[in-house]
Amino acid sequence: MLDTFVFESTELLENLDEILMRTEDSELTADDIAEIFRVMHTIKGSSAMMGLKNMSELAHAVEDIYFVIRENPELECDRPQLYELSFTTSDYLKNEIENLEDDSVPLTDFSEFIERLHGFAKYLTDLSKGETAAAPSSGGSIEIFSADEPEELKTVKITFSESCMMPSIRAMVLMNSIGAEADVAATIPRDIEADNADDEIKSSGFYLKLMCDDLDKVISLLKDGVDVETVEEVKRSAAAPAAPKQQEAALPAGSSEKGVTTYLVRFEEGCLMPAIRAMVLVNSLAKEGELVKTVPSDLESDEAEEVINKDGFRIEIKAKDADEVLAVLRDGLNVLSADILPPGGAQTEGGAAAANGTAPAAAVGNAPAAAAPAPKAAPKKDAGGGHSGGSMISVKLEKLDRLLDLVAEIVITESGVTSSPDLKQYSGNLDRFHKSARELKKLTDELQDVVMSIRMVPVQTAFQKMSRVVRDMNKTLGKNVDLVFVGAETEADKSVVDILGDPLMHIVRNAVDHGIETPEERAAAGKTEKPTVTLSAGYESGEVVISCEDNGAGMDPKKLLAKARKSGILTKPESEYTDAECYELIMTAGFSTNEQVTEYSGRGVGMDVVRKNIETVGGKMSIESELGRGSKFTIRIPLSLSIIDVLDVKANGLELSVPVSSVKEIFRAEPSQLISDPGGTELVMVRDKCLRVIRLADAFELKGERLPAEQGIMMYCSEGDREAVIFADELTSDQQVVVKPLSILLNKYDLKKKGIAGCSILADGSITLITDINELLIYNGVKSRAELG
Amino acid sequence: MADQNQNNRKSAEQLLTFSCGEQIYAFDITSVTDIIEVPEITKLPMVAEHILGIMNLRGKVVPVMDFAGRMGLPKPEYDEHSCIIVVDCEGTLLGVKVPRVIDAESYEADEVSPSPVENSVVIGYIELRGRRIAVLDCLILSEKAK
Repeated sequence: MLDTFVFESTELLENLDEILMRTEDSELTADDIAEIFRVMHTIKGSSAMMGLKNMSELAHAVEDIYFVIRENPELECDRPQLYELSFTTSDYLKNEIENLEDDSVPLTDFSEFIERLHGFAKYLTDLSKGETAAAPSSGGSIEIFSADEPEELKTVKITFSESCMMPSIRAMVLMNSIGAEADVAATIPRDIEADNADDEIKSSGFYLKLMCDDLDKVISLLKDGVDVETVEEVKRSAAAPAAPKQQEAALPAGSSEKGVTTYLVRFEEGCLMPAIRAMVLVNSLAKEGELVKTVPSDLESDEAEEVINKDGFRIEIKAKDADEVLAVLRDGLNVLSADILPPGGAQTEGGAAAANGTAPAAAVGNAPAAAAPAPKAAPKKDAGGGHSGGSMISVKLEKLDRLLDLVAEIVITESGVTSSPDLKQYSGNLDRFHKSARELKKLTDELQDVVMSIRMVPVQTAFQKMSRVVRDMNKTLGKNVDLVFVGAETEADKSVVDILGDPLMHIVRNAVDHGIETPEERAAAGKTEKPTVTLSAGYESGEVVISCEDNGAGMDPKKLLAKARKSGILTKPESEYTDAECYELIMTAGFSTNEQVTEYSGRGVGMDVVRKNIETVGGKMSIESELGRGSKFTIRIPLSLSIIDVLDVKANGLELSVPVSSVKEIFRAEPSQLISDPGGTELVMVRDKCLRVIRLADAFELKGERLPAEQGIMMYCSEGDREAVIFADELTSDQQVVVKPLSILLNKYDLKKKGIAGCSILADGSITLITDINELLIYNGVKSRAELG
Repeated sequence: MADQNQNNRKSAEQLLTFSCGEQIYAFDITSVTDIIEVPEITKLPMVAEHILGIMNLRGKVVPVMDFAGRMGLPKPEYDEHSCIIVVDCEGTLLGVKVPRVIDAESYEADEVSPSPVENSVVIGYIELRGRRIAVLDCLILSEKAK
């Protein structure tokens, strides 16, 4: 329960942030306002349900503000303040949600901030009232006529009886009931589904703006509505004269006016789903007259069937020809009897149904079946409406893990069945079996692909959060930094994207705070380009590569060294530090270059934590920098669950898979290409390059005979700026695999560092080991181009 | 019959006993998730000799350890009764290849005499029906890094 709340609220708040970010410097559309309203409304409801009064009140206060804005879209308000308040609310709520997971943290008291929100809401309300007063208004406190309203548009004011429980629903029913006679152009209150519509209707009445030929007829129709007290036309000029009360006398619709006939329908015993039958009946009556009410009123409710079975189904209808109606009813499927009930008893039940607020479901009349669900959905609309993520559902990651495992099992079992040795003993014709088996294989393959793709999400989600970070820092630091995304659509396993969040935040903060200079400093350095932080994502040899690059001041290795000396974290003589090693110093615990601790960075914790976090998931981090030009932080995280293409090779009997992405070229060496270094190192000439030959058998310490170099397979591999030729005995196949990490119980053997990235379960259930060529090259001392000079 | 009595008398906890060489060893049964026939095991390079490799346990890749090798015992005879006991080491699965599984036995925790040796694979000994059984700590057995 709490999990769901936390998850949903977090999603909603992210959604809110996204809208706020997008609209801050542009226009806030009605859709956006509605969405913000929906977010706040949902949080208000769900947090109240969880007993989190503080959050509920906070959300409520914000809801109030956006309510005023929604009702007065033209309002020119203090937008910076509005956004400040909205962002702060989002932060407060997010913090509070985080705190929820820790029982020891008490609920935060937001009352002070809520006061501020109330203040702002009041300011907005005053502002909107001011506007209303300024507008050419003739009515009372409510603005009824807009300036550009066409003459033909009639305005009708309806008031409901004091005891009416949900006037907004009655109003909705009324609108539906006059559907044939008039087109409703607008209503006041504008949104009768809104929470406060009931109050507004009660206090000021309900106004309909409509186009019609016969206003009198419409008014009489309206007067027949349940709980309607008065109906009058409101004229634009001055206060509207009260419409004559006894108008129905002049109306032509005499016979139907006589009143409502009540029919009682009983269905055959044992009729399945009488409620559905009843609904069908209601539909078939649409032509015969105007449906007033049914009992049970909500045919879709669970109790409806019971009630119908017990008491029968009661229909109140205004029809010209009662016999015709009866005939229609008796023709209905499974109908046992249909009779006209004497008037009288229905009235009390009408009241009861009205109190439930469900009566309109059937009273809608013209198209009962289509309209029936509408009022039911209406109260929910604020909570569930909008449907921005209409076709999305959220699923627990563990369930997907389980699904993936199951699919793998199915694939394995399938191949077990179709290649069962028992089949060989059967001498008959197996054509049809094989055809079905192929079909099955195709399907399971597809199933596997789909399941694997489900877990992949774009890194966009992790990037998006950074916009907010940069926006906030721009406000406080005044650096006006542009955040640019490149390759945000790059997909990675969900767990990887989740892990990225924190490290990225630290890095981006550092880039903006330390990396980018102040505008004055930039001007002094003659930098004309806009301060920019670029976040980019992409794939490189089975890894997701995320980098954060700024065009700021860059880092000075000398300064870093001096600082490190002061902090006492140097481990070898200063002269031995290369530039790259100097940059790495900032990822050491207890290092911070900024003399002043700011709100965002400079506490000396951060980069070392970042590095640790990334390393625990098998990732790596590297830093490049150029003084005066900027710095670049690169994170590489293995695609823990991605499908990669591999080449299967054998080395001294061990089967291994080499990622295709690492291999540039495969060849068999001619004896003339082979060189043996005086030290015994095997080398091979590839065109004009002299490359080291690394035997997989040697790299993985495999025992066995050494195959002569010209008899095996040479794979020209390149990773980053390291190159070598990897030697294997033979190439067996190529395929797609899902890389799984090796068990953590094997961590002590450092297999990853030695070049084994993980393993993969193949379709036949066997396991293959996946090599990590990059690590293998590093571990075997292959120098990078930079190191070679 | 004796077996029945034993079960009735003590319903509290159970041990899964297995033999390796002359000695009988046992895991607390709550840590055992599977007992399976020896499947195909994929060898791993560059690991200790007692790590036999990795196996596919219903879609999960689980490392397999040779119990005798891990304990430094002489290599026992493996036959069709040999099997792999899969234990859960704080959420990580480990397969332990043993020559023969014997039975599940009920016991009371206070019947186990704790071993005075610190960080030993054997956490204590228990006498059941005249035989001394060494109770194992699967976490220490797994050599899981702290």
